[in-house]
Amino acid sequence: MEMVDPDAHLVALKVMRLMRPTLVGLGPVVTCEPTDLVQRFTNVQESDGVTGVCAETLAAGQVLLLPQSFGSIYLGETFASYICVHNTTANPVECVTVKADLQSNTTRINLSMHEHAKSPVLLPPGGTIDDVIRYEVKEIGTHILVCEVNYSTPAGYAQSLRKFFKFQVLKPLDVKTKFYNAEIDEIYLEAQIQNVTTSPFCLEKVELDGSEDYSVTPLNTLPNGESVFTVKHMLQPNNSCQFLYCIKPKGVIAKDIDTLRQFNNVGKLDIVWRSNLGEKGRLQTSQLQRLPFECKTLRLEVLDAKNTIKIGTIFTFNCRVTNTSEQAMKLNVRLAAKFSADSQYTGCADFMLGLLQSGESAEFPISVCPSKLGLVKISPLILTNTLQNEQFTIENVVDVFVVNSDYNNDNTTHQNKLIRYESAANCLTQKQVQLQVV
Amino acid sequence: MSNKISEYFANDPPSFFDELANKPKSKDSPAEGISTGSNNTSSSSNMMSNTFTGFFQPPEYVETPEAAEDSIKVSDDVRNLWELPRESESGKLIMPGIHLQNDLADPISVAVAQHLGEAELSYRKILRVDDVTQDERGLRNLIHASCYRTAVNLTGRLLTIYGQGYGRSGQPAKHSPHSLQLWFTRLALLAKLGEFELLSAEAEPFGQLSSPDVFYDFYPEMYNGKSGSIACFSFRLLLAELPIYLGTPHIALDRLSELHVTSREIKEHYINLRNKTAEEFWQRRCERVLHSIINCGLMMKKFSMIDDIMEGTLLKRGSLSKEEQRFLYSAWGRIYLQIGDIFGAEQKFAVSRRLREINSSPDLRDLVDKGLIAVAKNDFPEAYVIFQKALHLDTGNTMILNNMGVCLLYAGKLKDAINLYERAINLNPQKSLNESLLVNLSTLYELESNNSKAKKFNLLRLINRYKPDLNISTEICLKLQTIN
Repeated sequence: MEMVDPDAHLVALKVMRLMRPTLVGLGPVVTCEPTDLVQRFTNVQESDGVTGVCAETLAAGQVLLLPQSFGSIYLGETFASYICVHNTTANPVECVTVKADLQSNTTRINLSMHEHAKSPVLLPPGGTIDDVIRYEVKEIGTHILVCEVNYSTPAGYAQSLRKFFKFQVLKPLDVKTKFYNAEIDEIYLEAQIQNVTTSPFCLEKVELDGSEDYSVTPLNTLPNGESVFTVKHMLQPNNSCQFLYCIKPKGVIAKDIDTLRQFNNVGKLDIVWRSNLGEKGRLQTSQLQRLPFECKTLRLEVLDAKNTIKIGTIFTFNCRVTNTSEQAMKLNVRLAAKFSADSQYTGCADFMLGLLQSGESAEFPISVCPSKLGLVKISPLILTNTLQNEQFTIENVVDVFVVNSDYNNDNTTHQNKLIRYESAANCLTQKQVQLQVV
Repeated sequence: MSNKISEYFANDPPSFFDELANKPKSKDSPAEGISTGSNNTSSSSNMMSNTFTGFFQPPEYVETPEAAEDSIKVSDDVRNLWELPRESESGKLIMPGIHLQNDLADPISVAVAQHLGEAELSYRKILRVDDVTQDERGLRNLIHASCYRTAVNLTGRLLTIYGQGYGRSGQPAKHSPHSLQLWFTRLALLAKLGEFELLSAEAEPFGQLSSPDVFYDFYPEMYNGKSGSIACFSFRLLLAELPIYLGTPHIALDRLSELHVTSREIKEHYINLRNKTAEEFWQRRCERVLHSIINCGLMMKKFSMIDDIMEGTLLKRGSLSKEEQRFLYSAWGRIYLQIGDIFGAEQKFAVSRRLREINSSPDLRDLVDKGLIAVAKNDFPEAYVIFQKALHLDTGNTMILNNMGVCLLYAGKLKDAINLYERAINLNPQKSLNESLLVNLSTLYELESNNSKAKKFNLLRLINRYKPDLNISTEICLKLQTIN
């Protein structure tokens, strides 16, 4: 794609993309045993003197080889290129300047060479102006590197030599997210990162940068600090791995349901990966949005419930119901008793609460007696607003683990805050996320 | 960055290059080259072919006693033990033959004749078949001098004496330890030379050496009831590895796994017999097979398999010396580096460093690993300085010089990189003219100017004089295709 026949010019313009070099060995590894006819295949000249006898048969090279092709370039990686302008004549060439622009579908950026390339210089015979240009690619799609050399002929005419190098910037990874609204005010984010390049890479950093309203706890390490992934976040082409984060609203907004409803930006995922010999790429997702906050006319919190109880004892938990509607309500609370043989617990409740104005709440205890071992689910709790004659059914009020009486439960834990809504959607389907360079 | 690198040079202790600079042939030291910036025009004049009056010099060959000191000595029975082929496989006998009617062509001569003219060939003075004795001693001599093609041709002559020469493929053959050793040598050399097509064709009759006629048991009269494999273990390994070179590493992986299973069974057999030496001997063979499996894994990018073998087996052997552990950890780290896992690599290198003798200063191994980490972190000026330190420990080490040149280019010092490589070649052409350095230097020549042709031909002249063989074709090494 040359504009002018380069032979007609006094200078030559050469460009080479500098992706990371590759590590290579010294060619095929051939060995024999000392008792074999040739005794050994290598001589002192060939051996690099550093590998050591026991590892010389491993093809883990240490020789750097310059890139032999343009290769692929991915969004978020840095495009580096060597530009060299060479005086091919036997005479000095005057007033030489070099300019490199990178043009994408939407922008054109000037990439600066080192200082003295800016002002016109005298290039002696055989002399060069050369430097490395670097640019972090921020867009997918066609890019054109435009290099331009300006100089004066001995006769004083201004000459210009341009070369164009076209390449495609590809997408390196796919990010999909899934949000879960947990029972307490917590939200869980599952981020799935897929390698859509053609070679394996290593995820060096995957971090959820919490927005100012939410705090983030990553759940991707074992208690000893090691990653839950065995192979160091290595991702083969087309493979993906999932990262889990627990997100909590920060103090101020957590207390107020109305505010909580307005702040849905939980943060951005920051991803750094490295491929061949440390070639680095970095991308960020757009702001991730939590699930639309489910807030109906009524909110039930389970305030104090044991996790584990022994069979034969009474399981009592406290509930708090909040009127989140605009009107006052008068509630009838009913825990339906079940009388079938496979019922997991006995006990029922049916009582009225006092009048609740908008925003007010009331607390009440409920007791049941579990009759089966294992995980017992208390459900459903039916709340009826007698003023409007509307009914709210809370499925799955609370779970309790019922153990035998000889079970040693030193560390019974309490669930002190569970929030329930009527038939809430707790999980959003997987969603593809936009990626950008920062 | 350009300022940074000149600072490094300013504080640099004198290197052997500075000494070299005082010699008449080399006009400028790299320090000057860098401080005057990349407009330096006086470079690349230091490697005109007429400054070279030398030729290829075969290194002196001293016949060494059969076994090296560090190898384990065992009886023939232990060495040759192998499972006899099952009945079903025993029908087929091995009938090999050479596939070349004439000697293996010398592609360097061909390229020289094509590009530089026949006259230039008079400077090519590598060892020829008739320069050595026509026996295994001559063969060892040629291999020691790196004249691998000539060595292949000598195996051809010797195998012809055995009646297994050109056109004998498919004809009944009698195998002896010596004939099979000659075949192994020939095929191994073809692998080393990158002559994979010929290798594949000539290796085909041997299969996986599971025919009865490569076992002593097949010739009861001749070997007095001796038992075991006539074909050596290295031959089995080479045949199992062969698909790696042919681009089908998964087949190699299957074959190598089988080889490993058998080797381990033999090792366990000696454990039961409480034969410690034999056990250790077979343990080493198992490990050698595992190394090849790792090399397969590298080609197939099965990095988790490599981790398992390294962690679960290779580093588990109790008798590993600290030095051996170091080299394994270092190789492991470099494998991590290839995937881009810098943290993982640093961890392995740190273990390797800790295994070094206490109070000793960083050695070549440490410095090279450290330099490669700097490369991975994109800090090429730093990597250059580290490799330079390594060079002080091993003056003229081609691998280190090669890596320094790459660092110079990435630091924006094209001319200095070219200078460095030309100096390296100047200093020791026979050693420096290796495949990777040639590819790198030719790449730099192409980047530098439109007159790379003359410079590459100059390299070809030197290869003609100093290099018996290259394992990549000269066309590729010197990028000669782009010339035409």
